[in-house]
Amino acid sequence: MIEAFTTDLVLIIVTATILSILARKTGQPSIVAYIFTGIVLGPVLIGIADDLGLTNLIAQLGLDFIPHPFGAVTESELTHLMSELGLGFLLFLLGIEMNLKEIEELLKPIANIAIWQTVLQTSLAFIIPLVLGFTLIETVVIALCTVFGATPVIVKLLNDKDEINSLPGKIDVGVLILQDIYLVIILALFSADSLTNVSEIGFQLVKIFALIGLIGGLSYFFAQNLLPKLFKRIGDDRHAFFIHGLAWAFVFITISVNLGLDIEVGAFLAGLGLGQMPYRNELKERIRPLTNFFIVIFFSSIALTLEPSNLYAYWFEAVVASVILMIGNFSIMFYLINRLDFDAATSFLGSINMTQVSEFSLVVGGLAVTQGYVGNDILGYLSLMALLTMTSSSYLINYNQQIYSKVEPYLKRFDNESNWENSKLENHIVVLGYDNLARNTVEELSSHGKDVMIVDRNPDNVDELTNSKYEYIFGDASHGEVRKQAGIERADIVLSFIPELKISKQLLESTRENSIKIVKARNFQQAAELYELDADYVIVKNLLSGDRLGNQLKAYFEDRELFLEEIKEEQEKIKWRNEEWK
Amino acid sequence: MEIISTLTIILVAASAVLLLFNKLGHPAIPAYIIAGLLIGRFIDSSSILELAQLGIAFLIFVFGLKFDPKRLMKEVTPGLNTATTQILATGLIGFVVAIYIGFNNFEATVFALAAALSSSLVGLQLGSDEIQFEILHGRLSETIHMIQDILGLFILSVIFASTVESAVVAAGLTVILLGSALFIRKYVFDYIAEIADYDPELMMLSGLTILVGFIAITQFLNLPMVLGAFAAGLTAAKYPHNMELLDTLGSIKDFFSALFFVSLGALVAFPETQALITAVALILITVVLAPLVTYYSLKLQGYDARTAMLTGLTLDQISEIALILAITVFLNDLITASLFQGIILASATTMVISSYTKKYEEKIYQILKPERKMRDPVTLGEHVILVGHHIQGQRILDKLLEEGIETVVIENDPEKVSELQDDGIKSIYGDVMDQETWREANHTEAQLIISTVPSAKVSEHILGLESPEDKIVRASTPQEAVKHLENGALHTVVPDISSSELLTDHIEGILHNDRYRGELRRKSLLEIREYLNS
Repeated sequence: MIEAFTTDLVLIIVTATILSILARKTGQPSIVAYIFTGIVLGPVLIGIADDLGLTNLIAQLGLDFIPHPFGAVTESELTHLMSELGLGFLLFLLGIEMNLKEIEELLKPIANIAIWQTVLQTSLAFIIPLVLGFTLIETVVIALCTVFGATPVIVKLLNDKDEINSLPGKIDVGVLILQDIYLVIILALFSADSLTNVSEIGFQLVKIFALIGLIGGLSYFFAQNLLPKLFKRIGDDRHAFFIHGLAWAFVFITISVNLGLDIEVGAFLAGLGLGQMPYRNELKERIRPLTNFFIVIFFSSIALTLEPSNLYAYWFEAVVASVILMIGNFSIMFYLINRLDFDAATSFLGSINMTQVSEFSLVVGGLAVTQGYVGNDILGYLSLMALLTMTSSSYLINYNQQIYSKVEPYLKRFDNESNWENSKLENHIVVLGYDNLARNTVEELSSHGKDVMIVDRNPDNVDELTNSKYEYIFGDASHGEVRKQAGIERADIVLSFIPELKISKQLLESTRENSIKIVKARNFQQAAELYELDADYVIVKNLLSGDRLGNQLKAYFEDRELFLEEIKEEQEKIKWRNEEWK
Repeated sequence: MEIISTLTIILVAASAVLLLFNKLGHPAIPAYIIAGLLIGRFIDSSSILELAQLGIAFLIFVFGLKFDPKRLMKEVTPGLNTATTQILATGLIGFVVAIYIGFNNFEATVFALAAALSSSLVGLQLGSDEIQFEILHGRLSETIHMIQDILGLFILSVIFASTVESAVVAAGLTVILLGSALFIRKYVFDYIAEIADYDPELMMLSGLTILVGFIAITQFLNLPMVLGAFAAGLTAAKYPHNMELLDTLGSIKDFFSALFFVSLGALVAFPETQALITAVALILITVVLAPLVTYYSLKLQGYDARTAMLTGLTLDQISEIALILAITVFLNDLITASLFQGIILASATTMVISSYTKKYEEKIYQILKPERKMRDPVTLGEHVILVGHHIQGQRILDKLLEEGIETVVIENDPEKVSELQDDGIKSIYGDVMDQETWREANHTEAQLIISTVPSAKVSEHILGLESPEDKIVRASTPQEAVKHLENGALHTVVPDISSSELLTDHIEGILHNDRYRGELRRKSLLEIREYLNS
């Protein structure tokens, strides 16, 4: 028999699912659940139970024959491979998401904030461990680890709350993007072979910058020149798209590994190259589930290596440091955003989203342990900090608006005359699928003064739509993320020309109550179903054209001259459309 | 890490061959196998076999997810008859041929199964247009594919049984397993989905948990893993959850199944002679015999030659289930390397051939079609010939009848023809590309031909007829339309253009007039209900 899933993989998946559900119910991000999975399945709980005498108690009661997964799991090779891939994919995704155009207008203030924030936060992160009694090396590692933002978590939370295109959201995303670059450099530095003195560190840094520049440049160059032609060729084949994207990522991973940099760096740079293309959304959505799958395993396996003593060692310090860090981070961000003339609301919301210690602290920490700079107890300390800050900050992010309204009166004095505008699409028209019928119809509609957002997945339309006056997303409307990005829930009119029944149904379920919903069906059966789901009108194309011809035929049999005149007009339009297309 | 380089080579090779194949219009699976064949000597495929096997699990899981028993019911009787006949015929002949080549009984059985089962993934992928448009041979082929796959899974579950008793037990357990999956699907799954709160990440994890759960059960019951994967998929095969799961797990499956098929190809890097002989034999049986048997079976059940042949042509490849069967028995040392290699080679070849037979199916039909019995032409004059009775055709026919115009309808769906005849409308059951059909429709005395068939080939053929002079044909794009007009069409219907006028009017109406919105909805719904009930 073929054994597809190894035992440890099964245990990890099942435990992670249960804990994730729990996490969801308590409003926590799933990363917390994954880390706990490792803790539950690893030596920690068993160790604690031992220490508390529980194990003995259970044995005395004769209950120790009951099988349990605690402490049972040691990582198999397959699992190890998957967790490595997980990190790679995560960074690949981060690279793709780095679309500089979206933050272009805010680039200067963001760069300003990001740089100062790194400097100030690193200083703060440096002082705290020193005061708490850690050694110099430990302090350096800790300081470097705890400064990054938790990009995946924050981006996901903001996306879920639909705040990602708000002004504070954009600032946060921008700062996170720049911090990711910082992260990659740190990762590369830590995976270098030897860092025993300052000149070696300097040398490594130069080498890293050079290599990153080289590989990054390659990635960008090929992405701009080769890939668009490639992707156009592939046409509508999403499957091929995905494989090509993966192949691209792996090529860069291999190059990077062979040049002495790590998997993650290569993956990030590969993603960077792809991030500037219009197809990136589609690719992102396809890679995301795969990444999520591997990430579960990745974070579980980090925690699997923790012994209970690692967690005990510095728990008090962790609590103190976490509190100080959260308050410190918030204040630093608030000050930095506010002094650039953003208003109080933006400054507050932008800062409260960024208080936690990133899960990447565990990544870098793990790396530091592997290289022998620090011991596992520091990893334990970092894990505690990450867990503490992440759990509390997720509450803060989820309720950020409510908290703000409570403290608003006290922040009046920070308010500025702001010239920055909020550019979220609201009360607009969303058009899904851009076929000929759509093209004809949208032209007419756009004269009504509402914004038009077009979602389409046909590469042939990319040029036309990118240069048009409409907002445009290249992506598949069956993805929830794409629909969110298009702002379907805020739209006044949703017009779908996609003939797939399943997508039409999904659309009808995700629109606002009183919005106008027009969808398409292939036949009467489907149309009836869609009307049941509250569609305002269902386009059955052949119905409309059949009606049209039917009406025209009346003339054919009664007055041939009239008939010829009627069809002449239509034929003119057909010829004109044909000319346009040439 | 060495495995990273292996993965890179695999992905790049897969990517390259895929690119090539894409241009030629071939499906992805043979592309992967061929990529594997090419790089087999450069990589150590056993190192990624573990990862690849996940591909099987996900592949079958997704298949289970998409499985809709209702679609099965559509053409279930002819489907069942045809599928059974084809499997028996090709299976028996396959068995005999295998023995002749020199395989033992067990190996011959495996060979026979490979010959008998036709791929659903590839076949369905190629025929997705027909299925979506609900064209008759599309429906038939879909049903036959689904039946074959279920049969294939059952066979997989019993093939390892060493005695009749254990085979029966295995079959029984399979039924129970699938039954419980369906039970969970009906009563429990909604609850699970609610817990997962429609969060894609959670849905993915829940889906994975169900998958590993069922696989664990099957391992405990000593059944093959694929059965567990299928049952797991069945559990969640409920709209809209399966769509969400597909959304998330789809790319995971794509990744691992690509690895799987490439590894399969890589395992065949150096084929022996017997492997090649095996492959050729399998190819002949699959490409020639299977469609032939299907054709005759359908004809005997009353279908027209074209439908029968086009359905048959969708069954000319080897199923993924046969591939999974092959690798399973091979890894358990139950068959020789040459048989294994032969099956893989034949599979890749037939999948490629299949995409060609799909592309040129019309031509093939034209070459092979049988002589038609001559029937008397209809005795009408100055009538209108309407081709096709789907949505557009129905509407047009209604209008024509309203005006009291004599109409003859040409249709190739026997169901529709008998419906029309029941309604007292003259209809001809035949193939539009066939001159006989036109003679029967008495086209020389007709006044006007209206064609609603969305095929450029059909429109061109009609425009080539000498009389009548007035022909209105359908075009999908303005380019086609202009060509048809130049070739003598009186008028062309381009649904996109004629619809947009009406649609824009409706939208304007909704925007400016509150009552219009309610009225439009009410009226449209009424119309549709009328059509559905008539």
